[in-house]
Formats: sequence, C-alpha cells, structure tokens
Amino acid sequence: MIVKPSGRILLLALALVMSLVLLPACAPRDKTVTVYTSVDRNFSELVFQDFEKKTGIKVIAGYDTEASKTTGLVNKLIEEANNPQADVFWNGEFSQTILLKEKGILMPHDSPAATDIPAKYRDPEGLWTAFGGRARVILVNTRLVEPADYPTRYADFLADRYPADQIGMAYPLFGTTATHAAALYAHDGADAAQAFFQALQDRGIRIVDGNGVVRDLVVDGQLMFGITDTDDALGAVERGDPVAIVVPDQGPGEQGTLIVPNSVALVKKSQPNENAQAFLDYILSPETEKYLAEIGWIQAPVRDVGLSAVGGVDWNLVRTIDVPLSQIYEQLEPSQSALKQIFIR
Amino acid sequence: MNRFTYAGRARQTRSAWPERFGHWPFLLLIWLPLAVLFVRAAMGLPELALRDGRLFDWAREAWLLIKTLVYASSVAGTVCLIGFLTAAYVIGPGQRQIRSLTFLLLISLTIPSSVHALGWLKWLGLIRQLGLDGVASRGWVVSWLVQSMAMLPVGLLIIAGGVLVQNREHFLAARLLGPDSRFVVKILPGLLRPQLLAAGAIVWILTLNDYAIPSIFSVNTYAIEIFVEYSSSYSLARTILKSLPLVLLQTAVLTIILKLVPQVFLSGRLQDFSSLKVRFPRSLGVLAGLGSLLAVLAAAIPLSVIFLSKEMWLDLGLTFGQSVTDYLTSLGISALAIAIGSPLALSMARWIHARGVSRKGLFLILGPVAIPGTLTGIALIHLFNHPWSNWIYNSLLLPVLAILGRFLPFAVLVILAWLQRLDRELIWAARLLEPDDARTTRKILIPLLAPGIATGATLLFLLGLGELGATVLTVPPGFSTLTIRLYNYLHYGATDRVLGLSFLIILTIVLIWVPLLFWQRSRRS
Amino acid sequence: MIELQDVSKAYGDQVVLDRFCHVFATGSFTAISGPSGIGKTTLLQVIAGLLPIEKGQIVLDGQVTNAQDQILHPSVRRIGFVFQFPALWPHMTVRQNVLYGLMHQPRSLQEERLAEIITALDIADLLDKRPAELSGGQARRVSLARTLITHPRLLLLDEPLNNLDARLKDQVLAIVADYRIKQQATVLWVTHDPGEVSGLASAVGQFNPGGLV
Repeated sequence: MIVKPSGRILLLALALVMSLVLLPACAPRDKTVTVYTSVDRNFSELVFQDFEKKTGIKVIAGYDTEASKTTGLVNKLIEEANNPQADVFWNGEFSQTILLKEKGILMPHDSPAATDIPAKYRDPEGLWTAFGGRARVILVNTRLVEPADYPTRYADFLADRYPADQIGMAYPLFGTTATHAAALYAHDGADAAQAFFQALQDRGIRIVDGNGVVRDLVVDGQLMFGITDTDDALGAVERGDPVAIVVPDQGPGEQGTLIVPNSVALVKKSQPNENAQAFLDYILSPETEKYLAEIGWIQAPVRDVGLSAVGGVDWNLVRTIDVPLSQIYEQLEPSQSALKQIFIR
Repeated sequence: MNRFTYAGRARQTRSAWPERFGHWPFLLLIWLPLAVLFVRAAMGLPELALRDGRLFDWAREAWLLIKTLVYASSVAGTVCLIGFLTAAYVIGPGQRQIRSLTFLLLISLTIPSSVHALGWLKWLGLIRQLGLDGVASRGWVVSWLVQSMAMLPVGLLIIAGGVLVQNREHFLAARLLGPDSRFVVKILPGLLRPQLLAAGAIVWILTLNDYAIPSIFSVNTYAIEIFVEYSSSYSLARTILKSLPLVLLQTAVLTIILKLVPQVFLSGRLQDFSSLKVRFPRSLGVLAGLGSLLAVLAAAIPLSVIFLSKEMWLDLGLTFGQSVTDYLTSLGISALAIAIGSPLALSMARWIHARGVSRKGLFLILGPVAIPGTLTGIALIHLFNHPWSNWIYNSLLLPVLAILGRFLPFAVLVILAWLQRLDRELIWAARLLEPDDARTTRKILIPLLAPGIATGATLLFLLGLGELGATVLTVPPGFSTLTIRLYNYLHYGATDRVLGLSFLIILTIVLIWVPLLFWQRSRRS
Repeated sequence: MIELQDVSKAYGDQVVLDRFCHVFATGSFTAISGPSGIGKTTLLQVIAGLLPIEKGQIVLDGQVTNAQDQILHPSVRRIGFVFQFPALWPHMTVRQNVLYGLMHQPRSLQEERLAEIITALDIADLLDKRPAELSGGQARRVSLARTLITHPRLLLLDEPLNNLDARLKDQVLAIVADYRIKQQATVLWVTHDPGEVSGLASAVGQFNPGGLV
C-alpha cells in the first residue's frame, strides 16, 4: 500500500500518541507506590512530594472528586478486587475504609509509627488505622450575624430566631454529613436523631449538594450559617472571607462535635509491598500528622504532635462525640435509609 | 478474481466492507463493556439485600420520578421556546448578531454547570440586594430558571443552526403569499420540527441526569436518588435497577423522537437572510428580541463570572502552571478519541445507512447514551481489569474508551445525517469508474463527508473534554484530566482556580476555532 | 404594467443590474434569456420584492413597489413566482401548501378556488399527500397550483421547465397560457431556450445588466 507523505506524517503522529498513551502501563514500578486517596489534591500532593523527598519512592496517585463523594474510588477498589491496582487507600474519613475491610479488600499491617495512636482509632485486626482528622463546625457569615447571636449548638438550627432559608447543610446521605448523622444516631438513639432531622426538614432549612456548597453560600451571604468541615471552613477564613468558625456543642453537659479522622490501609495483594508499608509508616508518623495540621488538611490530631492550637482552636480542649468508630459505621446504613425517606421526596 | 467475468460481475454488486461489517467495531467497543456490566449485575441479583423487605420504596420513588420528569420537560420546553424565538430573530433583524451569539454559546457550552449556577446565584443575589426580595433563592422555580439558562446553549445551537441551513425558497415562497409573521407562526415551526425535537430531547436527557443545579436550590430529583443508592449500597445490581426507569425512558425518547435526527444535522451553506429586509409586527419582534436577550444572558452570565473575577486573573499563571500536565493529558485523550472514533463512527454510519434508518438501528446507536457515565466507567473496569489486559487498563487508552463509550453515538448520528443527505449518484459515479472500494472511500466518500466527520470529531472533543463520571474511574493513577482538577478545585473552594481552568478551556476552543474559521474562509475565497 | 427605472443591484463587487430600464406591458408574455449566472433570477426577485435594490425604482400598475430604502412587501403585490425548484413545505400536505396564500380568505372562496385549480392541474388525488410522497412532475404541478390559486396579476417563472419531460413541459405551458388569457396576467418567463415559449411569448429579450435587448 503506497502511503503519501501527508499520510505517513499522520500515521507517525498516531503512533507517537499511541505510544505515549500506552506508556503509563509500561513504566517501571519497582520504586513506586500506588495510592488511591480521597484527600483533596491540594493537600495530598504536598504529602506525596514530602514522602518522595524523604524516601525516594515515587507516589503514583489516584484521586477522587467531590462530585462522586469518594464513592468513585471506593467502588473502583471494590471492582478491582480480583486484580488490585492500588497499594494503599488513604481516606479523608473512616467509614468507607471499614466497608472495604468488610468486603475483604484490605490486608493487615502493624505499623510501628502508630503505637501511640489511641486504640479506639485502630482496627483490632490491624486492617486499618485512623489518625488526625477534621471536625464538624458551624461556619457563620460575620456580616449577617453579630457575635452575640452566633449559634453554638447543632440544635440551634431549629431555633426560630434564625430564618430557616438562611441556614444550610449538606445532604446527610453521603460524605462527612452522613457520618455525622450516623454518629448522632449512635449517640442519641435512632428515634431522637430521626426526630431531629425530621424537624430540620420540616423547618425548611436549605439542604445542598455538599459541604463546599454550604461554605460557598455562607461566604456569598446567601446563608447566615451552615454546618461544614473544618478544612472547608478554614479555607474560607484564610482567604479573608467574612466568616467565623464556631465549634458546636461545647457547653457543659453538651455532646461535643464530631471529629472525622483520616484512615489508611493496605490493599490486599498476593505479595506485601515494602513501598506500601513504608508509605503507611510515613503517613501514620506523628511528624506527618503535625505536617498535615500545618498545611491545613487536618485540624484535630488524635495524639500530641506538639501543636498548641490548629486553626485558632486548641483541639485538646474540644469536646467530641464519644462514640466508637465502628458503632458510627454500623449506624451508617440504617441512618441513610431512614434519612432518604425524609430528605429525598 | 477478474471483476469482468460472470462471477466478477456478481461480486461487483456486493456492498463495501463497512456496509457489511461496519457495526462490529462499534458493538465491540461500545456494547461489549455494557453487556459484561449487565451480566455481572445480574449475577449479583441473588445477593441483593432487601431493605425493610423492599427493594424499592415505590410510592416515594415514583412520585420523585414524576416530579423529575415534569421538571425536565419544563426545562426542555422552555429551551425550545426560547430557541424558537431566537430562531425567529435570526430570520428577522438579527442574522448578523447570530454568528457572534453562536460563538458565545459554543464557548459557554464548555463551562461546567456549577459555574453557570454560581453566576446566576451571584446575579440573583445582586437583584435581591437592590431590594427585590421577591426573587427566590431556592425551590423549583429558580432551579427551573437556572437549569434552563444552563441548558440553553445546547438547545439554541441546534435550533439556530437549523434555521441557518433552511432552504431559502421555502421562505421566499411564503413571503409572496402572506406576511412574514405568518411564516414565523405557520411555517417555521414545521420546518424546524426536527431541530426542536432533537434539542428538546437532548436537553430533557441532560436535565434528567443532573442533580448539581437542582440540589443547589434544594430541589430533589431522581438523579440524586440514584446517586445516593450508588454511594450507600456499593451494589452494582441495586444501582442499575435503580437507574433502570431513567435509562429506559431516555432510550425510548431517543429512539422514538430522534428518528428525525438525520434531518437535524442538515448541511448546506449558511443562508443569508439579512438581505431580505424581513419585517415583523411589533409584538413578534419584541418576543423574538426577548428570546435572543435570554440567549445572550445564558452565555454572558457564566462568562461574566469568569472574566470579571479579579482573583482569577491574578492567579492565572499559577493555575496554568499547576494544570499543564492535566491539560496536556486531556488534549491527548480527546485527540486520540477523535483519531480512533472518527473511522469507527464512519463505518457504523455506513452500516446503518446501508440498511435504512430504523428504530432498531437508532437503538443500537443511542442505547449507550442513556447509561450514566459512572456505570460506563465500571463497565470498562470489569472488562479490562485483568492481568492479561493491564497494558490497556493502566494506560490512557481506558479513558479514551470511556469517552468513546459515552459519546461515539453522537458522532455516528452526525455522519449518518450527512450520509442521508448525500446524492447516491455521487458515489455510484465513482463506483462505476473505480473498482477499489477503499480508494472510493478515501478519495470520494470521505471528502464529501468531511464536514460531517469534522462536526462529529468536534462533538467528541468538546464532550470528552468535559466528561467526569467515567473519566474519574478510568484514568490511571498518576494522571488526571482538566475536568477532574476543576472539580477538585470546586470542592476545595478555589473559585479563582475553577474560573481559571474554565478560561483555559475557552481559550483552547478559541485557539482551535479561529484558525479553522480563517482556513475555511481562505478556501472559499 | 411593470416599469423598471434605472434599477441597480449588486452583490458585493459584482454588479448584476446596472441602471436597468424596461417596461413590460400589461398582459404581455416576455421570455428573458441569457447565460447562467448573469442575473435573470435576480431581476425576477427584485420585481417580486424578494430582494431590495440599491438605486432606481420599480413601478407596478402605477404603484411604486421598490425604491432605494423602500420596499413594498411581496405578499401585497399580487405576484406569483414559480421557482426553479418546487419549494413545497415538507411538513404540510398538498392541500395545506396550496391553500396557504388564501388562509385568511372566506372558506367558500377557498373551496371554490381549490376546486378550480385541482381540475386545471389534475392534482385532486394528491391533496392529502406530503411533498416527500410526490414525484418531480407532481411537485411541479402542486407548486404551480399554490402560485396560481391566488390569481396573481403578474406571473414570474424562473426556468420552470427544467428537468421536466416533454409531456409535462407541454402541460405547464398550456396551464400558463390558459391562465394568462383568463386572468389577463403579465408573464415574465426566464429561460435558457427562448424556443420553448416561442408560440406564446409576445416578446423575447436577451438579458443585459442595463436592460433587455
């Protein structure tokens, strides 16, 4: 077949593009570790670069997006079970990590770096470990609310003095909002928690797509306040937006707020991967937990990492909802099922 | 074999290879992953956990589905109405403006719906600050308004494009027999029926699958029900079952209404109506002008959010610097999707054309369009995540296949439309003179179909650039696309970065469009 | 009577009508011939009011219909135009196509004119069909029916016999001739071949940008 010069150039270009496209699959993998992470890329990239500098092991990262609320990666891990591609799963929260344990996707690793992490943050079988996390906080628009009128409790979302259409939260059906709802079900009991959320819906507060949307609407003045995570809230504060953070339920006898810890686990493979274990040891070290707090991903370390305050709050003094992570996880499905009846009509 | 023996003459009547087997690459690439997905889902059915003894909460979900259908229908109807009024404006005083408007609308197509919503939220907030407190901040009405405006570019491009390639004599004949307003009311809707139906159907489907805009305005749609199922059950079978009503409805609409689709993509030189000094009565002129104004707003508002953001401009260099790899990855994936997809689309279109466009043929093309992007991604994972296929699974070929799986049907439709319109005599004349089918394809058919192939390629490029659901599942670790990065920034709240990336996408379209426009003009002159 | 006084029309740099002057007498049948692309169709279109002119004026039966920056709407000129292609609206039936020009006339008039035209053009069996179902000859007859049903005073025909067989050509010629006599209409007939209307035309003119020769 005679191919004209212009056709040859086209074929050459196509061959070049094809080889570039197939290159990733052929790249050498001996000094690498593949990490699937739901943590915001802005933060996780810094951590990976730090790890690479310290160990010489390159991190090949798989990211998720807020649009899929982490479930994309988790589903991918489940679907890849027979031929896993990832070595490590680093989750910005913990419930889906426990789910992966139940699905048999994980393998144990007893990291020496995690010995000082409290037992309630470690899986008894060593399949996952939780560490520093984010807290559920109320973000307030300081132009619309005077400091004396700031809400101080989650229950203030039902207070008549605040117009319902100017209060917001994300759907309590996925992400950390779902985890928070499950924590309330575990702490207060299903009936009380259900009644609370029903009252919120009946009041007509704004239910939106995610914590980031809550933050954006508060910043924009469309909401007086809303409940979100500390990483979302602090981002707005650092940008100089007219907002303030309130840690809810800190009064005497009040239940405290929820800390949503990060979690990390090894993905089950036929052979343990030393690079993966090295990454786990790195991410679970107190130095990394401190680093994560300094860059703003976590605000509530689970152990003393030598920081007196993070984001302007001394987290050692913050009261937290005292429910084991496994109990929160157990309430996730029943609470989601019940809340769907309330919020998706 | 000598073609001029008796046996040779018998062979001469046999169709070209694509017309006999052209559907196989399409079936293998597009339908095989879906078939594997459905088989795996079916295998998961026995283990389906029934919640509270029921798989579906029929009453609640049925009501949710009905509300969603009404919502999507109202958005589609609104887009068609505004599109038609703008079309009337094109015929009337507005043809010079329509070219700039088309350019503006094409650009706004690439902007994520979240940025559309952000733009409208800002402007609605401004209106409320001016004291017009009656403007709602949530609910079905404001969601319908913003959704319609976000969808307007899609519908308008189809409808306005249809006007510009209408047969001019249809209009002239009507002008001799009645006032211009009668033409607009009695003739134009009929002439534009394929475009109106296609625009309505596409907007309807896009609205059905979108929960981002409704949820910002606290409106629940069936799409969020599916998403909640997906994110809470981790069961493929449950998610597919939950998606089935929407998938079946969309497939039915596509197949029934879009039998007219080949006429949607009519070719032809753009007609010049400006010399005709068309006159409307004032009321029609006002309505038409209003439609066009809404069309301008639909494009201008999200663009204003981007271009008027000081922070966006200040951080633009940093945004570009951090996104270069993702940008090049996105371009590479889209370019390869075009390179692989265009010949596949052509061979599938020829196969369908050889058999006549039937509902079965349309279903074969359009069925995959109704499948949500996430399920397309999972389908590819099931098919290619094996040790023997790791070289595909861990490469950028997988997101290319994802884009083809979702959007190749559109490219097939476009090329099919052009094939429908082609004079058979042009091909027969070539076949009488050239026995080699491959050469006839190369030298005659492809040049004649070049505009259609280019349009299909453009669709693949634009839609692939903005794809998220399947891409996030299929892009290999270590790589990312511009859209994934944009949504990461969206979550992080780095609005200036989001706007910067939107600007980068717009710039890319302009850098491709402008040289093409000059090249076209130089060819004509 | 149609009077063209110093009519000028250009497409960009290409001048098509250059101070065109001519008078077409009432009831006359003029064949206009000339090579393709010279402007014969443009002449018909400016007379019909489908295109504006840059200079000069056109007067129809004493009424100025075209002048610089002024143009009387085509539909009020009582002009019939037969295009090179039938230009039937594809989504309408034959009946709807034919009756479009009489839409706001009384029903009785519509029925009367319809009956008259379907007999003259032999299209009674086609009324409920759509244009896509018609053959070339049938489409041509329907197009003629739509033009003639409104009883135009001036009939403009742009190469109407293109692509027709001999029998159909004779049919169309006979219909036009009959109509002209009955309605005392003025006919302008653009053609490559003046011979095709030699028996009917009262005048044959070779088209020039400045006038007919």
